Amino acid sequence: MKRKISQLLLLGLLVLFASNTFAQIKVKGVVKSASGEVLPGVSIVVKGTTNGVVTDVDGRYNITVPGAKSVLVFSFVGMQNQEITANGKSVIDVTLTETTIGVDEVVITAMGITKAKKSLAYSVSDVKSDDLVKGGNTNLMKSLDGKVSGVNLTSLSSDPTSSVLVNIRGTTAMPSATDANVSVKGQPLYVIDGIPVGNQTFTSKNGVDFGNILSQLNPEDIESLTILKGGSAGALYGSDGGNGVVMITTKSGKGGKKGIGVSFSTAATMDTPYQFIEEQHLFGQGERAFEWQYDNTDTWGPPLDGSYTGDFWNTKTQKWDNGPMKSSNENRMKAYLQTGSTVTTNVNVSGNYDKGSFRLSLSNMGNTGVMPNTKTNQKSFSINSEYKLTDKIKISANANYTRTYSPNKANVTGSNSILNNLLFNFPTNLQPLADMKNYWMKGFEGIMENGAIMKDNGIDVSTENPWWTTYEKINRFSRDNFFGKLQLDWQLNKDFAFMLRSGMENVIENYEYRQSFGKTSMANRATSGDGMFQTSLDKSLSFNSDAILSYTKSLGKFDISAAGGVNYAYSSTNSYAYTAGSLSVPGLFTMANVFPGRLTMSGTPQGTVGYGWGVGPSYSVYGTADVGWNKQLFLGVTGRNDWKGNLPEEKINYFYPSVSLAWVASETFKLPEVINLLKIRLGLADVGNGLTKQRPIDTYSFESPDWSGNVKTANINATLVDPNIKPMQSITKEAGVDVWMFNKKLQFDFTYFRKDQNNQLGSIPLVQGTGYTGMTTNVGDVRNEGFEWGLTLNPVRTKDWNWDLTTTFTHYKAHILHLSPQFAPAGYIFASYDGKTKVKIAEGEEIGNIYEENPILRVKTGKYAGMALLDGNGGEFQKSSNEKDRAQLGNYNPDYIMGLNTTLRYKRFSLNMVASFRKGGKYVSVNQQYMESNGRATTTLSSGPNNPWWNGGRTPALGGLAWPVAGSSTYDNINANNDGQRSEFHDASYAKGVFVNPNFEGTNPSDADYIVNGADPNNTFYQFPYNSYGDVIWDFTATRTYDATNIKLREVSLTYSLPVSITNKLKLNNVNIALVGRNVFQWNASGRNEDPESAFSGVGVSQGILRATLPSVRSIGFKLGFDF
Amino acid sequence: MKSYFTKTFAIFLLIGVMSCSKDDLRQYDALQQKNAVEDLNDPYLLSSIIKKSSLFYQDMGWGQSKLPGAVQYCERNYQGGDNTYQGFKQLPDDMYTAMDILKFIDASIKLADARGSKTHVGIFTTFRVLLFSFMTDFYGDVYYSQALKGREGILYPVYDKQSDIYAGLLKELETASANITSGTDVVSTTYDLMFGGDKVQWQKFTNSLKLRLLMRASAKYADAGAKIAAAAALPLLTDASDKNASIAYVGTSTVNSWIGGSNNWGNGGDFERRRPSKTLVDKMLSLNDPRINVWFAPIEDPWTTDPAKNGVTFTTTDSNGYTYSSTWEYIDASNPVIAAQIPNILDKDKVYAGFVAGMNGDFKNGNGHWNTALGGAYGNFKVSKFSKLFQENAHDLLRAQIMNKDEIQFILAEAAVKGYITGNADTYYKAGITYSMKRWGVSDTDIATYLAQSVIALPGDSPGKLAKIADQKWIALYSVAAEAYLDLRRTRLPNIFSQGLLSTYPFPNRYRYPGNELGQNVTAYNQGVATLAPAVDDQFSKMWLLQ
Repeated sequence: MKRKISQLLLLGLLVLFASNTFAQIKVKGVVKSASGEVLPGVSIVVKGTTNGVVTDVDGRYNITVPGAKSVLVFSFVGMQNQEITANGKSVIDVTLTETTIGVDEVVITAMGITKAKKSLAYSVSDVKSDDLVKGGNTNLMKSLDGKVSGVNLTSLSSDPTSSVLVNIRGTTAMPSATDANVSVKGQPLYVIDGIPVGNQTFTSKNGVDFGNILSQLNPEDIESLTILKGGSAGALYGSDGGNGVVMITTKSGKGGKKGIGVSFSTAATMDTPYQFIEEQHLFGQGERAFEWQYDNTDTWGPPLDGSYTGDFWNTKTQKWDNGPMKSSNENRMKAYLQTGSTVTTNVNVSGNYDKGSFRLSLSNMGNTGVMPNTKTNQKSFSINSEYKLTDKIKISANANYTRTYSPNKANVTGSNSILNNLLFNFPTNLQPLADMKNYWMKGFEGIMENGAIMKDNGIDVSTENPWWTTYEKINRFSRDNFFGKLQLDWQLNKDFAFMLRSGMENVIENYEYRQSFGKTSMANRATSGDGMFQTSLDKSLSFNSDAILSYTKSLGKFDISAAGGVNYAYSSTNSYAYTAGSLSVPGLFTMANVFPGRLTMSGTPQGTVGYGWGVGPSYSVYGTADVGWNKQLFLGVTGRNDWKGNLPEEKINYFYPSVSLAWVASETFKLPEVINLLKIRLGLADVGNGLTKQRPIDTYSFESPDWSGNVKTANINATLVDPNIKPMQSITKEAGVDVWMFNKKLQFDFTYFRKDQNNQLGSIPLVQGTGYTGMTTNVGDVRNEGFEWGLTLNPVRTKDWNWDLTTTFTHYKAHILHLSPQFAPAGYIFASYDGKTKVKIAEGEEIGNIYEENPILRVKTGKYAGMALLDGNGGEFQKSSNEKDRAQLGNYNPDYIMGLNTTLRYKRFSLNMVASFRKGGKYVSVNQQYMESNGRATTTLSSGPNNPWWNGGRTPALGGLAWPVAGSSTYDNINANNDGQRSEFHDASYAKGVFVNPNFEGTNPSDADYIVNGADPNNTFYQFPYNSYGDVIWDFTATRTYDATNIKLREVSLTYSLPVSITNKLKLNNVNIALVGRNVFQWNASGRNEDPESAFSGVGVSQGILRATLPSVRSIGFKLGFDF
Repeated sequence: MKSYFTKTFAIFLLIGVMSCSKDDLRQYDALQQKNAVEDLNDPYLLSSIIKKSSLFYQDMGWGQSKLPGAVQYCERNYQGGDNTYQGFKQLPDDMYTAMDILKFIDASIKLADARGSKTHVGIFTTFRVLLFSFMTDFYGDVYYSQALKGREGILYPVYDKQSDIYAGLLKELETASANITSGTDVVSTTYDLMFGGDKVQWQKFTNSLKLRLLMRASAKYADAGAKIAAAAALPLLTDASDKNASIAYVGTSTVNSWIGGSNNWGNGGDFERRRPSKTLVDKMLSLNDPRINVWFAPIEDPWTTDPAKNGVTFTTTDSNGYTYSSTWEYIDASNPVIAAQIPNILDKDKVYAGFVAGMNGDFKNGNGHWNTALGGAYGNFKVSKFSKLFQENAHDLLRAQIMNKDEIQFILAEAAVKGYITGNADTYYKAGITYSMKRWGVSDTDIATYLAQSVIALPGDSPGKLAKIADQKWIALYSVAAEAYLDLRRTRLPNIFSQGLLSTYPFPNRYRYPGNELGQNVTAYNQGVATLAPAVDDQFSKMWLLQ
C-alpha cells in the first residue's frame, strides 16, 4: 500500500522527466489555402497521439513522426481537416480547403464543459491568448478593454498595476440608502480552470489600491478567457454567477510539439503621465487681492507680479523670509510625477509526451510607479500537468503561486492622496517642488518636518511637504496567493465519463503602514506622541470540490449530451489589524513603541461574532442537458439546487433553472452560398439569490478603545429583518442572431438581453423614530435592458496582406421597475452618494442618475421665475432646502461603449491597434470644486462666458468693479454689507440673481418686490470674488458637471517575426520583436485635461465623481519573444 | 493495473472527504457566541449609557459652536455662522443622535428588567427621560409613544404632542425614582462613571431632572407652583457632599478626551477659531468674577493708550498654573494701518477681551486686529482665547456635564422668587454661585469676596431678583450651553439679545426638523408642524412650551 502511494507521488516527477525513445522520421512542408495564401497557425498532429506542432507565419512546419505509417492531421479554423499518411515522405505540402460552415469551433462553458460554438444558445465572448498579450499589458483585466462586447471594464486608476472592476451587461443592483455605489456590487464570478475563486473587487488599505487576484494573473499563462454573459450561460453556477462568469483557462503543455519546449518573452515599457490639469499662476495666498495670508491655502490673494511683499516660509533655506511674492509657474502634478517603468520576463518550459504533458512557467514583473517612491514586484510560478494512466483515465494537476510585493504604493485617488494636496492646497507662489526635497529640518532629521508652509513658531507644520509624505508615509503590502486543483477524468465507456475535481485557493495579505514623526505639533508630542504604525493580516481560504458524470450519445438525428454533478464549497476568512495611532519615540515601528492608550485593534477576532473563522459551507447539485436535432435545433436545460447557511436557523435552499434554444436556420433552409451560418438563439434563466436567513435580534459589541483601563463600553447593533422576506430572483432573457458570411470573412453577432432582478434584498431606510436605521427586506425590482453586437471582418486576405477588424458595441440601461410599498411613503428617497451629490431611489428611476444635493434657491413664479433668489442680508446664493428642487445632473453610465481591435499584417510585419469610444455619460469634477473654492482654477480669475454665475473679477483688468461710495444705497443692509467689505482695490463683484426688497414685509413677494442684483449699482450687494464666488459655488454641483465622452487609443503594437532562415541559424523558433504602446492617445469631449474615465474609478469612490486622480499614463516599450 | 485506479480513486475520495468535514464544533461555537452577545450585563449597559449621554450633552454644550454661540459664551473668529444663529437655519439632526442612544437605553431597560435589576431599570429610565426631553425641547412634537418600535412593526411612527410627552416624561421619572429606591441590585462602583454606585445620588439626580423639566414647563401648568413645590421637597442634588451629574475624561484617546484637547482638535485649529464672547467677558469683568482667569486667556497683544507701555511684555499665570505671555501694543495713530482700525478698537488697556457678538466671524474683525499676515488664517492677537485648560485632553475641572448642583440652586432661587416654594431665594442664589465657583476651583476666600460685592446682592424687587439670578445662572451654565439656551429661550433673561451686532437677528426658538423627516415620514412631520405657532417648520415658530 505504502509503496503504491509513493509510486503515485512519483508519477508527477515521471511526467516531468520521461523522455521519448521512438524511431523518428522528420517531415516538413508548407500549408496553404486553396487561394494560395500561406496559412500560419495550422495545427498538425500525429493521429492517435498528442504529438503536434503549429505552422509559423510562413505556413512552414517541422514535425517528427514515429514511423512511416504515421498519419498527420492538419486542422485550422474555418478549414476542413485533412489527414495525410506520411508514407516515408520527408516533405509534405498541403492545401486546405475552406469548410462551407466552419463551425467546429468549441468554447468552454460553465463547469468547464466544452461545447460547439454552433450549438450555443447564448452569447459568450472569448479572447484567445494572442489577443491578451499583444499589447504587452501586464494586467490581464486591463488587456481586455476594447476587445469584448457587453462588458464595461473600469480601471481603478491609470496606474498599470491597479484593479479593474468588471460589469457584464451593466449592473442590476439596486442602490440602497447606505450604499449607493452599485458598480462594486455587480462583480462577476471568476473561475480559473474550473475552480471558482469568487467575486473579486479590490484590496484597499488606507485608500491605496493593491489590486486584486485577477490583476495579478500573468497574461502569458492564459490560454483563453471566456465571458459567460447571460443568465443561461452562468445558471449552472447558481446565484454566484448571477452577474456573469469570467472563465479563465490556463495554458497547458498539451498540443505543443513533442518533447521539451522552452519559450521566453520579455517586455519593457516606460510609463509617462500626460494630460495635466491647468491652474492659474497669477494670484497667491489669501482671500483678497490686497491681503497676504501666508498660511492660507486659498489663492484669492495678491497678484504675483512681484509688487507685493510678504512673509513666507522658505522651505529651501528653512527659515522665514520676507520678499516679493512671485509665482513658481509650476504645474505641480507634472513636477511631482515621474516616468515609471514596467519590465516583465516570462520563461516557460513545456513537455508533451504520449502519456501526458506539463507546462512550467515562471514570470517576474517589476513596476516602478509614476508616483515617486512607489514600486510593485510580482513573481509567479505555475505548473500544469496531466498524466494518462490509461487511454481512459487522466489525472491533471495545476498549481499556481503568485507573490506580489510593494515596498510602497501610494494613494492615487481621493482626498487622502498627495495629488489632492498638490492640486488644491498648494498655492502657486510656494517654491518649486525641487526646492523642497530637503524635507527634514536640518539637524532634526526624523523628528521635525520641514513643511511646505510652517506655522509662526517655525517648528510646527501648517502644510505638509509633499516629499515628506512621499518618503515618510509608507504603505507596504504583500500578497501570497496559492491556487490549484487536482482533477480526475475517467471515460467510463463510450457514452459515460466521470470527472472528479477538487481545488483550493489560499490568499494571505500582509499590510503595514508607517508614518514618521513630523505631523503633530511639538507642544502636543509629549501628550499625544506622533507618527503612526499599523500592521494587518488578512487570510482567506476556499475549497471547492465537484463530481460530475456526463453522458453523450447520438441517436439518429438526435445528439444528446447531459451531465450531472455535485459541488461542495467551503470558505473561511480571518483578518486582524493593529494600529498604533501614535508612537512614543521616532523611527521605531513596532507595536511596543505605541504611545500609551493609542493602540486599537480591529478585524475578525474582535469584530462581529461568527466571522472569526468565517465558516461558509454550501452544497449544490446540478445538471445540464443538451439535445441537438438534425444539427439545426439545439435545446439546452440546466438546473441547480443550492443548500446554504451555517447555523441551523440560517439554512435555506434554492433551485435555479434555465432553458435555452438555438436554431441554425442555415441548416434548415437552403440559403445563398455567401451565408455560411445563420443562427437564431433564445435563452431564459431564473436564478434565485443566496439569502442566508438572518436572526432579527439586537446584539452588542464592545467599543474600541475602552473608555478607560477598567471600564468597557458597548454599542448596540440593531438589525431589523422583514419577517416576510423572500429570496431575490433574477430572470434573464436573451435573444440573438449570428451570421457568418463570405467564407467567414464577415462574422456578426447580435444579442438583445433583458435582466429582471426582482425582490432585491436591501436595507430600506427607516425613520430614526423606529430605532433602526434600516430594515432588510425586498426593496424592489430592477430591470436592465440592452444589446450588444460584435462584427468581425477580414476584408483583405492575400499572400502578403491580411487585415482583421473587430468592433464591439455595448449598450444597456437599467431602471428601477418597482419599489416595495414599505419603501419611502413619499415614493422616493435620496441616498447620499458622494459629497454634494445624491442618488434618487424611485420607481422609473434610471440606475446611474445622480442629483445635486444643494439646488440654488430660485424664484418660483412671476417675471423672475428661475432666477437665483439671493440672500437679503448679503446678496449671496442660497441653497434650497426643498429636496424636490434637486435637479438631475445626468447619468454616469455611457450611452454606449464601442471597441475596435484591428490587425494589419504585411508579410512579417503586423500592426495591431485597440481603441475604445465611450459615448455619453456625465461626471462631476470635484477637482473643479476645490480648484474654484481655493482659487486655483482659471475660471476664478474673472466672470466670463464660462461662468454665468457672477459678474466681476479679481482686479480691474480682470473685470473687477469699483466699490460704491459708502452709504450710497437706499437700503441699510446693502450699505452694511458693502461698507463692511469695501476696499480701494477694484474687486467688487456680484452674484447674478434677485433679492427681495429689504423693506418688504410679508410672506409672498410679488414681481414688484424683487430687485435685480447689479441692475442699479447703488442697490447691489457686492462681494469680493472669494466671497461672491469661491466660497459659494462650492455648494452647487450643477456648475461642474461635464460630458464624459472620450476616445482612447488603448493599445498599439508593431510586431516583426524573424524568418525561419534566420531563426534556424539562431536555433530559435517563433522569434517576434514588437514595439508596443498603451494609452497612447486620448480625446475628451469636455475639452478638459482630466481623464473622464478616472471619474469611474478609485477605491471606494463613487462612479461619476472625479477627484484628484492620476492623469492618464502612456506606456511605450518593446517586447521580445522566442522559443527554443 | 486495476489496483492503480482504485488507489487513485481512493485518494480523490479522501480529498473530497477532507474538504467535506462538517466543522460542527465551529457551528456550536458560533451559536454560543451569538447567544452571548445578545445579552449584556448591567455594568456594561450602565457605563455605556452614562458615557453616550454625557458626551452627547457635552458635544452640544461645547463641541459644536451652535449653542455656545447662540448663548454668547463664544463667538466664531473664523467661519462665523454661529455668531448669528445661522446653524438654526440648517436642519440640525441631533435628534437622530439622541434616538441612537435611546435605542440603546430602551434595549438596556428590557435586558435589565428581564433580570429583575430594578435599580438599573430606574437609572436607565432617567436617561431615557433626559434624551426624550432633549428631543421635544429642541424640536417640539417628536417621536415618543410610538418611538423605537420598529421591531413591533411600527415603521412609520407618528409624533406625540409636546404636552403629552411632558406628561409622560414626568410620570416616567416617578417610576424611575421608585425603581431606584426599591431595587436591590448592586450598582457597580467602577462602571458607574457618574456616581460611583451610590443609589441615593441617582435618586437625587432623577428628582432634580424632574425639577428642571417642571420649571421649563412652568408657564404651561396652572398648578406649576404645587408641582414644583412637590418636586423640590424630594431629595435633590443640593448637599455640599452631592456630586454633579457629569463624568471625568480619561484623556487617552479621541473618544475619552475633552473635545478641545489635542486628541480631538489636534493642532488647535478649531480652538483658535472660537473666542470668548465680549458679552460674557464684559459681564464677568463688571462683576470682578474670579472665574475669568480660569476660563479665558489674557490677550496676546493687548492695546494700550500709554505709549510708554508699547512693546512691554508681561506674564500672567492663571489659577491652574498655566502661563501666558502678552505684549502691549500702543494705539499709534501715526501708523496709518492702526489709525484705520481705531473705530474698531473697543477694548483697550484690558488684559481680557471678547469677540463682539453677532459680528461676521472673521478674525480680522475682532477688536482692531490689523496684523493679519502675522495672525495666519484665523489668528487674532487682540481678543482673548479660551484658557489653556480647554486644550487639555483631561483635567480635574473638565467634565462631560449633564447637570450641575448649582443649576438646581438657581432653579430653586427662581422658584422661591416666583413663590412656588417657600425657601429663601438669596440662600439658593448664593449657594448656586458658590457651587459653581467651587466647581471651577475658586478659593473660599475669593468666593466670599465675590459674594460680598453690592453688584452681586439681590435687589428688593422680583424682576430685579430674577434678572440677577438669571445672570448668575447664565454664567454658571458656561460650557453647558444646551441648558443655557433653553433657559434663555424660556425666561428671555439675561437680556443679551441685542448685544453687539445681534439686534437685527431674531433669537431662534427651536431646531427645524431633520431633513429626512420631511422626506421619509411626511405624515408625522406635517402633524408636528401643524401644532407650531405659526405652523411653519422654521426656527422662529413657537412650540407648545412657548405658546
